[in-house]
Amino acid sequence: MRIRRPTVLLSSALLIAVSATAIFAPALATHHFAEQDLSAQYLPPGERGHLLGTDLQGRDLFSRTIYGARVSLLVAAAATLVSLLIGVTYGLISGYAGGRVDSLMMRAVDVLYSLPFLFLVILIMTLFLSPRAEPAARVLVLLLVLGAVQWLTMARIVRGQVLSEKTREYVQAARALGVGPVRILFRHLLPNLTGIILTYAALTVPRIMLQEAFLSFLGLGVPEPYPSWGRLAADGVRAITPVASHWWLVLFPSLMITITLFALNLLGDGLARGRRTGPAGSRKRGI
Amino acid sequence: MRRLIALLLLLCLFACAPPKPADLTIAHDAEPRTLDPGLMTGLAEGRIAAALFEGLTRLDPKTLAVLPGVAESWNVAEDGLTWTFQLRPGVVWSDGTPLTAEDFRWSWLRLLAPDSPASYGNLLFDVAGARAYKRGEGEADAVGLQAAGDRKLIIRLERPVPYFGSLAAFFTLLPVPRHAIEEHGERWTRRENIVTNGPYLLEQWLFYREITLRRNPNYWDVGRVALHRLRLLPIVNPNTQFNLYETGDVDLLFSVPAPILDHLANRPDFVTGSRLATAFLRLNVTRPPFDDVRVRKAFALAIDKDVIAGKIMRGGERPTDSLVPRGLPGYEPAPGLAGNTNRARELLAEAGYPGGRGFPPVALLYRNNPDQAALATVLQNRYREILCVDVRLDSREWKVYISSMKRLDYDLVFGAWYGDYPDPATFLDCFRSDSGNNRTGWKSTRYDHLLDRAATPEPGESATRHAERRMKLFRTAEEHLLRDGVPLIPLYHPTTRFMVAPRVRGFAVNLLGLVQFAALSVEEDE
Amino acid sequence: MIRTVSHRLGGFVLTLLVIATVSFFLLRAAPGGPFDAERDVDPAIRAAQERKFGLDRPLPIQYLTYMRDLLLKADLGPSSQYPGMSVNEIIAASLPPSLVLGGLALLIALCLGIPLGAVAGARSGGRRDRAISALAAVGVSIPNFVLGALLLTVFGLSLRILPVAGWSGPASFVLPSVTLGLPMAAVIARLTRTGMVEMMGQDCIRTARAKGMPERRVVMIHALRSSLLPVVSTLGPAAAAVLTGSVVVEQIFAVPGLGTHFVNSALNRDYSLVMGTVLLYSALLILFNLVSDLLLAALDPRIEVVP
Repeated sequence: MRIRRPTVLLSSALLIAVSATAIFAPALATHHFAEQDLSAQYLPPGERGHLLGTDLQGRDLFSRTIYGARVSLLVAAAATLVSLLIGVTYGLISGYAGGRVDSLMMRAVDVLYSLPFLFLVILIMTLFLSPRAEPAARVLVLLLVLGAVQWLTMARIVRGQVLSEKTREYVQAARALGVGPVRILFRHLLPNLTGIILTYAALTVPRIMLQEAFLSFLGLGVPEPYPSWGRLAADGVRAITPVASHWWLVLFPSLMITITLFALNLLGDGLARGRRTGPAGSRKRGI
Repeated sequence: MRRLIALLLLLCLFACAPPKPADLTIAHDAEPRTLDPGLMTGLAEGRIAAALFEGLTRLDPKTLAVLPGVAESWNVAEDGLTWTFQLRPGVVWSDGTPLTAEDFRWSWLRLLAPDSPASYGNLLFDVAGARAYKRGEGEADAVGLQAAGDRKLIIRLERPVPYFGSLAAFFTLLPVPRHAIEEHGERWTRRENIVTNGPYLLEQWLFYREITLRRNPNYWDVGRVALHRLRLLPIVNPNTQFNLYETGDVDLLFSVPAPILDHLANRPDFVTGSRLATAFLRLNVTRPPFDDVRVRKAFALAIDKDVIAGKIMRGGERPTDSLVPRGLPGYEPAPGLAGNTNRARELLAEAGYPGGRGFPPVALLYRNNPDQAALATVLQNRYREILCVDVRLDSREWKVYISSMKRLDYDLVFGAWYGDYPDPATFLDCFRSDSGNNRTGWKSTRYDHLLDRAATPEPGESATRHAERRMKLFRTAEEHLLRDGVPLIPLYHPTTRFMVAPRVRGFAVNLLGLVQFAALSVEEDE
Repeated sequence: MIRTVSHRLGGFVLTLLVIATVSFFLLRAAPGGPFDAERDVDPAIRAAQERKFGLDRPLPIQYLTYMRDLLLKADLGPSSQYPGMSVNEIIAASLPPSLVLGGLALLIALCLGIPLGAVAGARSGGRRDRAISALAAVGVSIPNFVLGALLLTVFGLSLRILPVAGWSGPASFVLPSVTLGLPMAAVIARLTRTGMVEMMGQDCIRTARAKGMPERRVVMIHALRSSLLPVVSTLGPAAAAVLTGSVVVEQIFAVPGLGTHFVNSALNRDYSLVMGTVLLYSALLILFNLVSDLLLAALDPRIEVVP
């Protein structure tokens, strides 16, 4: 019913389009993402049937960007999901329990923050992946690794909000009425935090995409020839020099990241706004 | 709060000391790990070592001919086993202390000491008694190094080392100041403690920021050093180096952004130099399918090396079928397996995989640097096209890549060997059965035997006769390695790429990639 | 308050010990060692290298030695990557540029992010809000290496008004700190805006408005305070991360900071340097999280500070 809002409509349309790109990549792409043409190296956009130009190996950037949506969106979605599930729950419990439990839980987050992330990734990669492993297995491990660290800040944010919210009247009232803590957390507190949760979730998406690119750069991510937006952009930026710029290699993948994120933010805002427009006001819903 | 601000200001001051004007600014690929030449391991460090120190000999910046350094002359005994170096009179360390033959003996024994962590200490293992001393099985006094007076160093070898003259110029064997090391220990390389003997002095060393070198007035041949002050900036990112070059902040750099190589090809300030080096693929011969030599040969024959060198590397690399690069005096590399796609398919069929049917998926291990990544995709395509086999790409983090290689936990992997001295032995020794650099699991007693026979002179054989026979045996060994064994597939000979500002004079490239700062000068313009 | 802080400081040391212990063993579990290189070294030399750093001894002994030096002498050990340098020295040399760079970036992020977010959130859906939100969305999603390349191409190479790289004087601080600060500013703006929008819809604000208080004061006093909670929650980890350096920005602009060592030490298996950077980062993190918790309480008096 709230889908009528124009921002929500627009952003959903954008996101659906981007997701469709990922799903129907084989149909949309003009070339296979690994197809090389060494007589067509570094072609600028539009030349010889390459809509967005080509790279060093003469691979079609348009097709690689389309296929790149798969890894990028998958990684981002999975990591965000983990962040939402673990981070939000952890933050809710920590903030609501307060006191020593909160202190202990937050120190655990500090410890996890501090562990040398690269070693964690190296270790997991070597433990779970044999040299001849299927590329899909690699993506799976990558999802796990990225998700595992993304929930920490989410937990801190949610916990900070809960510390403040739980002193409000509606929570006190619910408690006085004998409502159980689980119900208070998920039925009363959580709805009032959706705005900030959605905003932050949207903010983690580009970070995850770039982290994937960074890990790939160190040899820890998805291997060649599979493309992802982050890595396409990272590879492309090497070609930006004062003498010559193969600008298309960095522009289009970056643009895709920006568009996706733009849509996500818009959607987050729209949903948050939509939630608050009820005549009674959401704050009272809890009581 | 006020204290915090004061602290921040202090940090600012600390963080930005104004640079002194330099005659030449050089973008250096990396921060040197150390300024102790004995502990250095890389070319980038070696260039600094060559500016700060001078060995018994030095190499001509262009031809690599052995020139007199601290030693004014030397001779080799008839049997090739005793080398006598005569030091020049009046050579001093930068603090005025005389530099003597004993300094060299002490410096070299330091590398061979059982507890020395010097990675390249093995360069001296052919000195009599050296290996035993290193292993803790012999005494320092038993090592064949003898200082006869202040100006004569006598070296006894276990077997002839015809290239010992070049070796004496290698950075590991540069002399180090005993008196400074004994006084300061590991901290002797700090600016306030360091004592050197080369064309330049260390004026300033700001970790990861810059190294400033100043001409050494006490250097015996100071007349050949044109530039007064050099600034070296440790910059890892080639794009950053190149940007600084284009704005005129840097005059010389050692790595050029790969994507724009085509655009630089016609610029006069873009210089490439061949290296005494070979890039290749290693094959793991200990497990299927590469335990079958026919499969290895098929994989070797299927590659188009012209495409790899000309289309992907694009920096003047020469495609090759041999392990030893061309251009070594007296040696003609053995012909390896040249590309032949039909024969490749035949061999694969003979091995039981006609048309690639039944061939298990294999993995090509690479460390994720952009060159290797691009090559990997090209090879993957090529093998699919020619042999119809599935090669998966396995990118790993650097140390994991190395340890997988050492444990033989791979199918195919990229490798390269950079020669240390102009002699085939530096390449061929890698693939001995017991060599730690073999890393393919390939063991051939015939190969080892050929190399052993090459290394030792026959009774009564003169040094020249031995040298000739040696080269012949090397060639037979290389042919056996490349045509019968095939634990590796040579791909190309790497190059080094430089940008050299037009005002820089005296810049020369050589096979070892050594750039001697002392040979550089600048053209005085308006 | 004082009790809280002292409690937390006790926990601080304990947390650090846990981090040190877990990290120590985590490092050793990863494949490859500090002396594995493209070329193999002679076994006798290899053994000497391992002896020099005590790597030949049993792991528990190595751990105890490390902890003893750390706790009794505040000695982080020798670096295997830079022979002759101690980790203490490397950190001392590399931390100042990172602190300056990170401090400037934080300043940019806060000074831009909070006001923009507040302005946008005060009238959500307005034209200003749309412009700022769009800008922030772009700011968040541009990869920092792209932003860096863009800025240096425009200001360093085309206009030639700022140095393209290096760390020599205030002019050279501009591009790296902007590159590092802008995406953070965008994140902060987004968070502030969301908080602001939430608060504007709340009863107390509505009441205040209805009473006819000047709009601006309402916004400033009531809404902004509470809407900063999420920003403050993220600021602890973010400040610790940005003050200890960013490898990408450091490499683009050749800044001699600590971020490079976070990555290089891991890739080179320089165990003591990894431990040093990890401990420094975690100390800062715990400290900033403590500050951030105190700030939470200061912003919203209803929040009880955890003992």
